[in-house]
Amino acid sequence: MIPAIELVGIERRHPGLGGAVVHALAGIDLTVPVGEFLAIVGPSGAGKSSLLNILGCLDRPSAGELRIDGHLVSAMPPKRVADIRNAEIGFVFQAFNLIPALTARANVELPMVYAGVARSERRVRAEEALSRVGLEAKMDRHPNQLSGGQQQRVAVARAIVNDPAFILADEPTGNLDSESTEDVLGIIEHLHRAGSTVVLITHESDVAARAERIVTMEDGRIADDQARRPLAGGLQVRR
Amino acid sequence: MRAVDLLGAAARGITGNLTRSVLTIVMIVIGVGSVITLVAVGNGASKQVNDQIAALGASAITVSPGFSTSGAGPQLQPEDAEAIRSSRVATHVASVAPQVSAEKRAVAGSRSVSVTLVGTTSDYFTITNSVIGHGRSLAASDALGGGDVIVLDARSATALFPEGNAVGQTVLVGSTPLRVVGVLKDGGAAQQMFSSGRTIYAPIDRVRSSITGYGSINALSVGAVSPKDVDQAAAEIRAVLALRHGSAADGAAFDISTPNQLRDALGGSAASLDGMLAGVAAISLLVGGIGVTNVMLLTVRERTREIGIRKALGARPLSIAGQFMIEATTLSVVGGALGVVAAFIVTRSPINGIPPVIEPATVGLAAGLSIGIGIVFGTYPAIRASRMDPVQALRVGV
Repeated sequence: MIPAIELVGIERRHPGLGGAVVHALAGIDLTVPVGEFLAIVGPSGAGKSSLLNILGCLDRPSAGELRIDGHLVSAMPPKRVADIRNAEIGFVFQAFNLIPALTARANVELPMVYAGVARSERRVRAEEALSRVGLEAKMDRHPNQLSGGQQQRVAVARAIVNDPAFILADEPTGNLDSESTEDVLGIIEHLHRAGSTVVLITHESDVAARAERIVTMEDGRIADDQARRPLAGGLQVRR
Repeated sequence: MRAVDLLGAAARGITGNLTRSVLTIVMIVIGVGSVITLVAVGNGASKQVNDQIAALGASAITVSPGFSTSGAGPQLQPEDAEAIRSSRVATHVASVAPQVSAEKRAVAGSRSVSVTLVGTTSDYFTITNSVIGHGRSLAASDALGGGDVIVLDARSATALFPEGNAVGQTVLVGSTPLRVVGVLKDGGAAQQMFSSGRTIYAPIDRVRSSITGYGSINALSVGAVSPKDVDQAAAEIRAVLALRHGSAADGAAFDISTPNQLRDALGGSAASLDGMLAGVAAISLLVGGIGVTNVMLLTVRERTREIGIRKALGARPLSIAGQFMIEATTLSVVGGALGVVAAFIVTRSPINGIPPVIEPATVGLAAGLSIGIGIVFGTYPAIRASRMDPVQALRVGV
């Protein structure tokens, strides 16, 4: 079975002060099987953000190989990488990152716009995704007419609408109150139980505790990698 | 990404900041509008020159004795007129009107004005496009009655007979009483351009017999068969005169001026005016173009985060660039179209006394230019947007 994500010897170096080189990532090997719910934790400066950017194909590794759903992304031209982001990755950001000028529905449609999906099909699929996060009644609202939790649920709907290889959530509850946090984490767990692969980046241990596997970063390396609890209902296979 | 969705994204970009979009459009309207208007003014000016020349007689050639540094050169004789008229060489000459002239005082009742008395034939009026307003022209039959008749131009008629009805009255020209048989129509601005004085016309024989004497004549007005024959007719006249006056008549012995020379002289200044206007217009178009760049750069900067989001969601660099290119091009095309409309409205009334003439080619050019501006000046901001690093872009404003 092809893993959802496979990292081999991933390094990310930045030029530092005085000609020094900063190793943001110093050799990461990580495999995420399909259907897994993985949390990446660690103190700030440990390399979580760098790893997020690599996993999200927003940044290129300085060395190493990145495979998503079997595709060797680290060797692709920018145009193909964009297509991978579109088809294989469902982003959920701490700051929601909805486009303010667009309605919830239009925001959810956006990944399908870039995938070239026809208007009528986009509409159906966007409504379906919004129903899955419980927002079928607010589809025509603009982001500023929605609460933080609702905005993040729109973002989750946008993340799953193209049926990606994995959901990449970066501190998804960092801007939310406890009630909304519970809401959003509940939806993510629900999606995981339905078969989605989830990578959750967080510095909050109680949020990480919801995952079935926790990878701890330190100084650009994986310091710890442990399964927290048995897989609910065994390894679920998506598709 | 589908083309229709690309257009939709661009349209939302434009309506998203309507004030800025409208201001950008206004810049292009001014640029394109001024190109069309100023070129139309230049066109109008050269059309006016051509009209003026036509009003003076587009096929009229004037022959006058040249100025010679060695003193008096050959003079024109009445026989020269006859020779040109009857020459078998001069096939492009339709008519010839000899002229003699003298400065005189004209007195009618209590009024007295200075005039130029021109002795000529009725052909002169035909050649110079002068139209009889009242009464009749000079006629060959006038000689039978002693030839004591005159035709007044509009200005001398107004000066001598302000209350009108000049025809039938008698004017004392010098010491010769002459009867008014006709009054010319006002030649308009065109004729005022070339003569500011008052002119009255009498039969040439009458003028020579008692006023100027039987010497040489002052000038010949020659009508070519048609305006396009003017240059050939001029050459034929030169040949006939050379034959009659011998070697002394070559080169500049006689001054033969054609409407083409006039047109070249006036057209030259019109052309330099044209060039200057087009230059001014081009500058305003350039300013409009830079305005588009500026606005698009601002827009890209302001929407950095949105660009980052779109990239994270899988927008290809070309989709991002395309969106901003279409925005820029739409703004400048709308501006261009409105600029054309504005130019048509502005040029409906004369500008600085010149009725502007819009040339269809200029409209096409301006429309093309405005599309070009969108593409040329929109490219740089669009490429900047498409090359934006999504990691940096998403970090903006968090």
